[in-house]
Amino acid sequence: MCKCLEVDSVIKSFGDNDVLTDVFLRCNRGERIAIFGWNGSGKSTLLKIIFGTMRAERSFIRIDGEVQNRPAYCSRQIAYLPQHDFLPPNIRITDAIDLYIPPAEREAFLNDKNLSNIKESSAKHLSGGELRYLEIKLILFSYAPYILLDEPFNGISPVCCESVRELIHNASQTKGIIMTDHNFREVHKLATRITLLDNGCLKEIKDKTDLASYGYYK
Amino acid sequence: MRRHYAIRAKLHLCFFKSTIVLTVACQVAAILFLGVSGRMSVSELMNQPVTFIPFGLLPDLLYKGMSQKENYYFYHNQGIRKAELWLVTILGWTLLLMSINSIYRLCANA
Repeated sequence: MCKCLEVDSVIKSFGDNDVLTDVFLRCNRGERIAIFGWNGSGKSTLLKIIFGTMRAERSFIRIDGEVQNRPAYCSRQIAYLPQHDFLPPNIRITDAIDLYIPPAEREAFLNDKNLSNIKESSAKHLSGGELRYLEIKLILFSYAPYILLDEPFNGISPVCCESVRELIHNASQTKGIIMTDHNFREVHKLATRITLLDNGCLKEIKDKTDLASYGYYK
Repeated sequence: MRRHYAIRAKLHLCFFKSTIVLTVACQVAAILFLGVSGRMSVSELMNQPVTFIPFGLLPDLLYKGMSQKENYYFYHNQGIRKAELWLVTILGWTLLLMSINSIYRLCANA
C-alpha cells in the first residue's frame, strides 16, 4: 500500500474555460511539492478539489491507499491553509492552539519567539503577518499527515519567511506537503519536487531552466 | 478518540457562539417589528420562540457564507462539514429558545 496522497483524473472547468484537464499528482510523506503557475492557472482550484471543498467534474483522491468517497478533509488526513485568513476573528489564540495542537506538542509549538507576545490575544487583534504565521504553524503542527499550503508566504515579512521555511522543512520530515505561492523563489528554496500548472496540465519541472521558458527567473 | 469527540464538541460550541450576536440582534428586531406592528402579542411571541430561528440564524449564516466563508476552513481542517455545523447550531438554538420559553411559562404561571 502506498503511504501517499494520490490525485488522479481531475477535470474542472468554469463555463467554457477548462481549468484542469486530467491532472495527476502523487505526494509521498517527506516530500515538499511546489505547484507553480500564472494567475488563474488553477492552482488554488486544484488544492480545493484535493481538500474536498470544491467539486470537480471528475476527480479521484486516494490517501494512504484509501479512496476518498467523501470530501477528503472528513478523514482528517489532510489539512489546508487557504489563501486568506481562516481563524474566526473572535477566537482566542490559546483556544485555537488547544483545538488544533495535540497536548504533547503544545510546548514545542509555543516555544517560538514569534508567538510569545500573541498567546493571550484574539485572532482579530493580531496583525496580518502574525495571523498568517500562526495559521501556518497551526496547520503544520496539526494531526493531518498531508498538508496543502495555498500561498503560505503571503503577507509574511522577509525575516519571518526564514522561520516559515524552517517550519515547513521540519514538518515535512513526517508529512507530505503540497504548496503554491507567487513568491516562487521562496517556494523553490524549499521544494523537493517542482510542478507547473499550464493549460490545465500539471508538468514536472526537472531544471530551473525549464521554468525560465515559462517566464520565471527572467 | 475521546479527545477527538471533545474537540468536535468544542468546535461546534465555538461556531454556535460566533452566531450569537447577529442572531440575537435579528431576532430582537423581528420580535420588535411583529410586536410594534401588532401582528403578534407578547404572549404569542414568547409561546412560539422557535419560529424566530429563521429570522435570526438565516441572516447570520448568509453573512458567514458571503463574507466569512474562509472561516469554515477552521472547522473543515478538523473534519467537520458545513452542513454538520449548521445542523448542530440550529438544534442548539432550538433547545436554547425552548428552554427560555419553558422558563417564561414557569415564571408566568407562578
